[in-house]
Amino acid sequence: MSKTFLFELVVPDKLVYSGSVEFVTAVGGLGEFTVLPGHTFLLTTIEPGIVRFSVGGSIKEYAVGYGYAEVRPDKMIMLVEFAVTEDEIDKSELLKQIKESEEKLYSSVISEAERLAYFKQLLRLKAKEKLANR
Amino acid sequence: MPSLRDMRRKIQAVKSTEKITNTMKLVSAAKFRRAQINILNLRPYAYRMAEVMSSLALRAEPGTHKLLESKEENRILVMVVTSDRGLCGAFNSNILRRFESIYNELVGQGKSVDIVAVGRKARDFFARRGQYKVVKVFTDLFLKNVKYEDVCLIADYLVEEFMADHYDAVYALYNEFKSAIKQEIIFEKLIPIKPMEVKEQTAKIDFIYEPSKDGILEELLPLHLRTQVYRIFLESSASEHGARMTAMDNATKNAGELIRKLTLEYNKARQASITKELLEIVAGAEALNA
Repeated sequence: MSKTFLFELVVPDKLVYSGSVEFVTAVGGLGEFTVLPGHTFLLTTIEPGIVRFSVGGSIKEYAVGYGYAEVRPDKMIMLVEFAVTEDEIDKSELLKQIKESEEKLYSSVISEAERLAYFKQLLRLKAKEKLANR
Repeated sequence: MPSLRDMRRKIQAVKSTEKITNTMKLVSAAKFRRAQINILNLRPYAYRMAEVMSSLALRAEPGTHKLLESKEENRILVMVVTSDRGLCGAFNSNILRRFESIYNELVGQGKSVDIVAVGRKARDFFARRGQYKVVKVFTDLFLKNVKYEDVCLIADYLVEEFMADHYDAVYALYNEFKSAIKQEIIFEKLIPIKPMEVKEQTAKIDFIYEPSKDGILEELLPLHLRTQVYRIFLESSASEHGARMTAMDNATKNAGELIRKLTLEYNKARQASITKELLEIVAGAEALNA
């Protein structure tokens, strides 16, 4: 069996990565999971977090938003809202945004739907923060 | 016979028109390149999404989700996508003419057709003609790059209308981008989502779903529709710029041709007047000699 499989990371406005990888680790609807070549057919949601994958021994990491992934034995496709590398993150701007959404999240005047939206937004930002603070 | 001065003025006017159309062509070309990159980048995402959707829809039990269930289509909502700006050849008139024929056909079958107008040209068209029922208008999407937030707004509106049982089906009428000189008008069903035909061997595979089949569906369906609407707008945007570029290229060529003709005519007229003057002089001299 081949030691690599095709991995494609796509966001709505571009193809972030496409190529052979040895493994992919991501956060799914049921927690973190790792895909190796020959994985069974799987369809999962993706939660905000860090996606790690290995290309020829070197590890690449992206902070991603909500989305989902389709896994086949020889191919994995991940469709997410955004995917950024550590270099693309502006730390001070990020901290500001996190503070803002925390304030909004804990304010008492918003509806449940809004609260959920802010909560999700906070998770997205936290995913970026996690990557930035490596 | 216009005077030489009038002819010069006319040539000058055509020349400045040529300058404008040429500039517009260049601007369109730049915008077109960007729009083309956008749509070409989105397509893998949108197509992949459609592929996964179809395999999901194929395996989902009947009654899983309203968005997946086809029913008899009596009340139809059509989203007509045009541009915000003109001077793009037959881009808008083609799609609106096509709309009229589709509309007449559907109404002839006893269906009710409501309209979501996207783009200023669609808005103006429907405003001029009173007989259509426009339920919602979205404009100014295409003046700059199409924004995903706007797309979500529109896609969610379409889903809400469908889920509220106001309509049995939602269609989109738009220009699909083929190349700079070619667009194809597409009339496509958006909602309910039809399970696409899947090849024999992939249809039998049992997926693992995390967290759950229905859980994924609940997330995926709105996302899928947003993506499709986004794709439609980007297709339309790229088509629009391509159409404008081509139209302006033609206009520039026509202006060049006109200038050539006018210049020829002007030169002829100038030569004729010179010849006439010469003749007069020669005739006068002859008369003196005689």
